[in-house]
Amino acid sequence: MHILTKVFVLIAAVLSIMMASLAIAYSVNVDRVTADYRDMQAAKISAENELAAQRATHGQAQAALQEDLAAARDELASRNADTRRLEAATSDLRIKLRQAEAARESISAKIAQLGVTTETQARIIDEYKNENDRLRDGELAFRDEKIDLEKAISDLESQVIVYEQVKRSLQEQIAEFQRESSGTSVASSNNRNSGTVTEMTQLVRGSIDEVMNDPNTGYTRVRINLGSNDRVRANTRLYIIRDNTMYLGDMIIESVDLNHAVGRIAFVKDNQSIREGDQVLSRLGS
Amino acid sequence: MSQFGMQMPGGRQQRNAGPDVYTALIFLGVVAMGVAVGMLWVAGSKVAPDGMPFNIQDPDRIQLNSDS
Repeated sequence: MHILTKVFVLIAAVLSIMMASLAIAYSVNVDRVTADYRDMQAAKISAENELAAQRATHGQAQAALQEDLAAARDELASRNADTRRLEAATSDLRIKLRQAEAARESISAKIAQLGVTTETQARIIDEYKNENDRLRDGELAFRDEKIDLEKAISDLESQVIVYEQVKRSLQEQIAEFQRESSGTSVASSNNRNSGTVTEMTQLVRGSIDEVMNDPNTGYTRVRINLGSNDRVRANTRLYIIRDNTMYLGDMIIESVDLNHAVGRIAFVKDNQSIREGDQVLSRLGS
Repeated sequence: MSQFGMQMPGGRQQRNAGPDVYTALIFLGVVAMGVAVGMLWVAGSKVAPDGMPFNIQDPDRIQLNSDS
């Protein structure tokens, strides 16, 4: 045999041994891998079956959950509607609360205002009461003063009556003397002077315009601004006062025209004199 | 047996014999076995646990390379 043949035979023997061992190992590995593959396939099938069962269960659970979810959503929607309704009711109640608070504040303000008004009216009433008391006191004082004045007037009137009587007697004496001294020329004036002296019932007020002294008779004559228009007549007695308070004397009207009259001074108080501007009254005490 | 003169090819070449047909055939056989060994090697490395075709898989723990 050629050397190459021997070499090739050797190589072929080695390669055959290798090929046998490789074939054995390969076949064993393939067998085990295929067995494992079949096991894996069975496991896969079982897993798939289990997965299908779980999916079915999951589907049922999901359907139940969907139903629960729908029910929960419906309940949520109803609760939301209730919430909105309650919120609207709350808003209305808050508005009513604000209105009630505003009304309460206005009423409180009105009460405070009424309180102030009441206090003011109480003060006004107190002031009216005090003023009424003062007026009553003043009225009582006035009445007392009036009573005193009436008493004084009564006293003065009684004095006047006395003076008139004295004057009448003196006038009669004077007339007698004049009659005796002047004869018939005095008669006519005596007629005028000895006429019945009357007093006016109504009150008239006037003033003295002029004062004259008659040298013939010695009388003081005065001219006043009252006349027949004021119902003044001859032989009317008038009283002369000053400043509406002080009595001065009496006068008797001798002649009257429409707006003026002339009379003589019948009586003058001591230390007093008649002058222009003095007032004349038809009666005292008014 | 040289005195009988073999009729088989390559029988005359006994002294300083060269490659003959048997050499060629064995050569072809070696080449075929080499190719078979190579193919077995490749296939065996795919199903072997760590790529070595001579290793045997553990039946309870099959390992395959990710490359295969």
